[in-house]
Amino acid sequence: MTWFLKLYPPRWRRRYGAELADLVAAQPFSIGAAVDLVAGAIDAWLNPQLAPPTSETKGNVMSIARVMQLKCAGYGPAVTPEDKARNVRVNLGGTLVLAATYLAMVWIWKRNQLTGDDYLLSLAPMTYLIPYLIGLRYTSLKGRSSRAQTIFIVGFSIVLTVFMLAVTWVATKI
Amino acid sequence: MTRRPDADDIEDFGRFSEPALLILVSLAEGPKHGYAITEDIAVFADVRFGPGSLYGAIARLEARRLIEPLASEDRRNPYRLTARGETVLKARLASMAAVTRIGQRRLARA
Repeated sequence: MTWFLKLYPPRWRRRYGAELADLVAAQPFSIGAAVDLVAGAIDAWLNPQLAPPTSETKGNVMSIARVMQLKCAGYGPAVTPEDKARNVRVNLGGTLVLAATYLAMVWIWKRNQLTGDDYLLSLAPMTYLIPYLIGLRYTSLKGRSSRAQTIFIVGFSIVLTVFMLAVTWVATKI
Repeated sequence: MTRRPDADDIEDFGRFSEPALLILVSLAEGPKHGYAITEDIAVFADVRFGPGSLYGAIARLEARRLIEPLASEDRRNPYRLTARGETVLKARLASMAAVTRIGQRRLARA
């Protein structure tokens, strides 16, 4: 079950990884613990909570730089009102555009009586989720590299899409 | 009844509020590492938190300086309550005790 620790952000792993690995190793595998670890990893990415530097690390330029970077990563003082407004624009605009696209696809597919409409319907929530994930660039993911942001947004979008299609596939089989 | 807002309150920890409170209660007895905290909470509160929830709460408590790690030779870092953590825990428990008293008094009258 220690594999799940790889889902946590590197900085978080450096601080708590060894302790968490010991705790995980001391417990038998359970679905509940696995889900808890995945939820904890998502939380650690979205809300990195790391202690400010102690007296031992004061003067350590690398440590200070890391803390500054973390402060810029969440809903900290670096998130301006303009950033929040952009976040809202991306959410609302993206949802409207994708919802219209989705409705057009449903109209075309239903009219031609194509199969697969169940799968199409299962993707309806993505019209909101994709703009929401993109909006994180201006809040929770702010300060991360463009590469990290892209990997998170595209990766999470793919995971959610596959998950919804998989659930639909299962639903059609039972 | 409205509780006085406190900058150090753990109420805004969201889903980590309950584990955070129980961690503080556990550490009030003395320093413990993660596994010992989990076992202690399981005994006195009959709740067993998953490792992700436990360390999510520990990270928040440490970031607020309500607990602090102690030097350790092995991988297990024990944590102890700070003076600020003790103050927050006392205030939280007093608030809960007041609610409990009122609740029991009202139930007795009903």
